[in-house]
Amino acid sequence: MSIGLNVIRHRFNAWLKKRLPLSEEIQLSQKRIFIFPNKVGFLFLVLLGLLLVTGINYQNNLILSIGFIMVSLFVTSIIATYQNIASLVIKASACDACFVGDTVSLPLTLNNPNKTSKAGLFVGFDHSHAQLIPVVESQQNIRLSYVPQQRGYINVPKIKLFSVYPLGLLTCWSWLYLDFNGVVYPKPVELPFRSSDGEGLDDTDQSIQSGMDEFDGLRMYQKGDSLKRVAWKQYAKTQQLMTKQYLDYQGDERCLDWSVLSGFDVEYRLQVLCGWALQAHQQQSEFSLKIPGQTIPLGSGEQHLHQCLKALALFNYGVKK
Amino acid sequence: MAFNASLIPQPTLVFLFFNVFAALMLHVTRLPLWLIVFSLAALSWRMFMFSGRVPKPNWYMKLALVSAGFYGVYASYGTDLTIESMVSLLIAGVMLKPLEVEKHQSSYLLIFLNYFLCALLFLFDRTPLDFLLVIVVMTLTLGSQVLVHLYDQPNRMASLKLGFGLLLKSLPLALLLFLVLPRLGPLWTLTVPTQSGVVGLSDSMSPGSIAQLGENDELAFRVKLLDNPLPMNQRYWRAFTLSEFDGETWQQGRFYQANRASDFFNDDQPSVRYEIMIEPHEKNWLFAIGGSKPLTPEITVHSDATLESRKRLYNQWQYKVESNISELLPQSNLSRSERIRYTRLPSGSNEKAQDFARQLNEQTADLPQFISALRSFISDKDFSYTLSPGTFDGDDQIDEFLFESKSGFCSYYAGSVAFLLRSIDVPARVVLGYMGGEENQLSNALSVYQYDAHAWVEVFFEGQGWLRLDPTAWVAPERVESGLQRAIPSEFQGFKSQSPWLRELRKRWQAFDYYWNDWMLSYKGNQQQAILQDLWGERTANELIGILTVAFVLLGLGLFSFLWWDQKSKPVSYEQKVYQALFTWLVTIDAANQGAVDRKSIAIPLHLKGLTMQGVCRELTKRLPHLEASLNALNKQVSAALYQPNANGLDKSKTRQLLSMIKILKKTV
Repeated sequence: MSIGLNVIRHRFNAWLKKRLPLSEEIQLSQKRIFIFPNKVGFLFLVLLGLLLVTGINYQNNLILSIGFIMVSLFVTSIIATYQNIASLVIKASACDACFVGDTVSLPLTLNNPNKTSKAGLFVGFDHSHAQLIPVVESQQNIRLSYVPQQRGYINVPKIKLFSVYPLGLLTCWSWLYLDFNGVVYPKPVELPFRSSDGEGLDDTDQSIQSGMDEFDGLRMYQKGDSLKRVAWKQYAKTQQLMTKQYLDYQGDERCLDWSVLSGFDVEYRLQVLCGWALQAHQQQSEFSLKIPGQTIPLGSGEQHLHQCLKALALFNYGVKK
Repeated sequence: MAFNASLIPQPTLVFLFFNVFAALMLHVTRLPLWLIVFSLAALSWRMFMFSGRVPKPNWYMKLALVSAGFYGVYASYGTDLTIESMVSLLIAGVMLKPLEVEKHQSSYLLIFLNYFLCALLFLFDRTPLDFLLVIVVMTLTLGSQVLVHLYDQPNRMASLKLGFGLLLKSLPLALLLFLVLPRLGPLWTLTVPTQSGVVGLSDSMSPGSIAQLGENDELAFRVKLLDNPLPMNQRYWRAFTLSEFDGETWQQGRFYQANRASDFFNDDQPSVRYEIMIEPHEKNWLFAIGGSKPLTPEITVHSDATLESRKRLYNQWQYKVESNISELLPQSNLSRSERIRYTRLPSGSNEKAQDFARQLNEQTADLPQFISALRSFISDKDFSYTLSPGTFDGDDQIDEFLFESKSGFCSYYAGSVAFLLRSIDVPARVVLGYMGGEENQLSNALSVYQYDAHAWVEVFFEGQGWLRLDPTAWVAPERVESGLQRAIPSEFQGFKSQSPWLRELRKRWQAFDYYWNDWMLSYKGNQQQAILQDLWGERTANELIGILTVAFVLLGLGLFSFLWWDQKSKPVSYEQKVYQALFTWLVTIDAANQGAVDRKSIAIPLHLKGLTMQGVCRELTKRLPHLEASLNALNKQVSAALYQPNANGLDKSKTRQLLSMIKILKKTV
C-alpha cells in the first residue's frame, strides 16, 4: 500500500476517533451512523435504469410507474435501513484479565430501546468475519473474541456494527470504540528466578517441609499442631491423637526485583517479572514485587498475584490510550 | 463477503421460488408450452435438490440447459427478434437461475430479475387487472427480499408485512414522480414488433379477412367527442382505401400526400372535433371520419383523404382531429392517373357480374339511378348478412357471391359493388375501417372494438367528390343503425348479456377502463402539463424548477429534522449537569498534567470511574488544594439540595448558579 494511502487512512482513523470517542456505552445516533449503497444496491440501480429505459422507449407509462415505485422503494429503504440500527445501545462489560497473546472474549450487550425489533445485525472487527445477530428484541448478549497485543488497559480496535436489513440495497454501519475495562498482563517469559543477592533458585534449594499439599501419612500429635489437621476418625477408633502429614514445597520468600534485570529493556523486564510472579504463585511461595515507583509487600494468593500482575501491566502506562 | 456467502435456509428459498413461479404465471398465456414445461421442470429440479436425492447441476448440465433454452426460443420464434422472443429468452434465463441459487449473494439477481419480469408484462397487457396482479407479485417478491435478510430465522408473514409496508411508504413519492417527471421521447427507435402481430385491419382485403375480426372483442380505439355529438349512422371511421383489384383481392395503391392538409376539409360544413386514443396496431394508419383536418402534428393527409402517422404505432397514441359530418368527400375532379386507377379492372374476371352491371347501366338513366337499382337488387333479392358465408373456390368469386351463394359480410358487398361500379367505368374504391362505436355516458367516450371493423365503398360523382355507399346497410340496416350485435345476434362474439345490471357493470368497468387509459396509460406531454397547471396554476418552466427545488430542500430538511429528533438524547437531570461539569474539569486537569492537548484524547482512568459527587470533589481538592473550601461548599450545596429533609433536588436557577460558580473557580486556576 502506498504511503499516501496510509496517510489518508491514518487521518481518517484519527478523525473517526475524535468524532466517536471511546466509551463504555454507545447509543447509535445519526452522528455515528454511516449509510451507503452496496454492490447489490448498485446492481439494483442498474436494473432499475434498464427498466426505466424500457419504459421510455416503449412509451409505456405502466412500466415507468413500476420504475418509479422501485426508485421510491430505494429511497424508503435508506430510511428503513437507517432506522433498523438507529438508537441501538451497545454496552461493553468488563472483560477478564488476560495475558498478551491470549484469546479473550469481550462481553457486549445490545439494548434495543424501540418497540420494533432490530434484525440482521453483524458485529465484528472486520466486514468478512462478522458475527450475525438475527434478531434483537430488547436485549441480547454477545461475545467477541479478541487477542490483545499490548499490555496495559485492554485497547480494543474499532468494532464494526452493520446491517443491510431489510432490502440489502444499502449497508448501514457504525464504528464502535468501546472501553472494556480490562487489564492485559505482559506475556510471561519463563526464566529461572534470580533474587536480588544474585543467587539463582535451584530445585535443590527447595526443602520439603510440612505444608498443605499432598497427603503423606500420619504422625503423633505434637503440641502446636493445628486442630484442623488432627485425624479425628483415627482418634475415634484408636483414642490416639494423630496429625495428618502433607508433602509440600516449602514456600520461600522471594523478592521479584526490577533491578536484578538491569540491562534488559523495559518490556522484557516486565515479561520476566510476570513469569516469575506466576512461577512463585504456582510454587506457593510468598513474594514481593519491587518496580520503580511501586513496591508491593510480601504476600501470596490469587489476589496478591493479580495485584502484582496488574502493577506490571500498568507500569509506566499512566492513562489508557 | 462472508456474510453473504452463507446458505439461504430452505423456507426462504421455497418462498423465493414461489415468487418466480408467480411471475411465470403472469406471462403464461403467451408462452409456448415447452417453455412452461421447461420452467416447471427447472423449478422442480431445484425443489428436489432439497431432499438430496437429485444432484446439483454441474457446469456441463448448466451449459446443456442454457443451450436448450436458446434452441427452444429459436425453434419457437425463429431468428426474427420480437418482443415475445426476447421476453421468452429472459424467462428461460430467470427460470434456470434458481438452480444455482444457494447463497445470499446469488439470490439478489433472481429477485431483481423477477421485478423486471413483472414489469415487462405491460409490454403486452395493460388493463387495470394486469396492474393489480403485477403489484401483488411485486409485493410477494419484496417480501422474499426481506425474508432473505432474516437469514436463519425466516418469518414469512412478518417479511410480507414489512415488504407491503415498505411498498405503501414508497407510493407517495412514486406518485409524485409519476405526476411531475416529464416523459421523454424514445431514446432510440424501436422497431421490434410483437410476434403475433396485433389484431386489426390488414392492408389488403380478401374474402374472410374481416370475418376474423368479427369474432374479436378487443378494443381498437376510443373516441372522445370534444364538442358535438356524432350520430350512429355517421360513425364511419376511415382507415385507408383499397384501389387495386386483381380479381381476388383488393389492395392499397400508392398514394400521394395531399397538397394541403385541409384539402378535404370544408370550414362551412358542420363538423365535429374529437380525440382518438388508438391501441398500438404496428401500422401507420389512423382513423377519422370524412374530410378531416388533423389538429396534432406528425400526421400526414393522403390524396385519398386518409390520415397516416409518420411513425408506426407500437404504443398507444392520442391525436386530435376535426372532421366534417358528411357523406360526401369533396373533390372537384380526378387526375388522369387517378381516373385510370379507380376504374381499372383485371381483364376477363367475373364476366357475369360485368355483364350484369352493363345491362343495369343501359336500363338506368344516370349514376344515382344505377346505384338505386343496385340497391334494390341487393336488398330485394335473397341476400343475407353473415359472418360465416363459407368459402369460394372458383376464380370468379364475385360472380359466385352475387348470383349463387348470396350470403356474406361487409367485404363481400363492398368489393362487389365497387367492382360493379368500375365495370361501367365509374371511379370507385373500397374503404376499410371501423363502423360504429359503443357509447359510454360515464366516460363520455365511444369505444370501438375490433368486431366493428367494416368495409364500404366510395363512388366518385363528377364535380362533387366521393360519396359514401354502404351496401351492407342495404342488406342489413341494423348493422349500421345499431351495430354488429343487432345485425347478427347469433354470430356476435362480443358482450351480449341482456341482464341490465351486468350491462351497467360493464358500462362502469368501461368507464373505469377509459379513465385508466386516460390517466395511467397516456398521461404525458400536453395532458401532463394540463394536470400540473390545474394543480398549481400557470407556471413557467423556471418557476416549476424553483418550486421543485424548494420542495426537495424542504423534504431534505424534513428528513434531517426527523433523524435529529429520532436520535435526540435522553434528558439530563440537573444534578447530572453539575456532576458532569465537575467531572469534565477533573479529567481536563489530568489530561493537561499528562501533556495531552485535548481532554477527549485520553480515556478516563479506571480509578476515576464511578466516583460520587463527593468523590469528584475530593479528587479535585487533591489536585487543587487551594480551592478546598469552595469545592466543599459546592458539594454541600448539592448534597443539601438532594438529601436534606424536604429537599426536591436542584432546580433550574440553582443549577445555573452552581454552574457559573464552577466556571469562576476554573478561571482562578
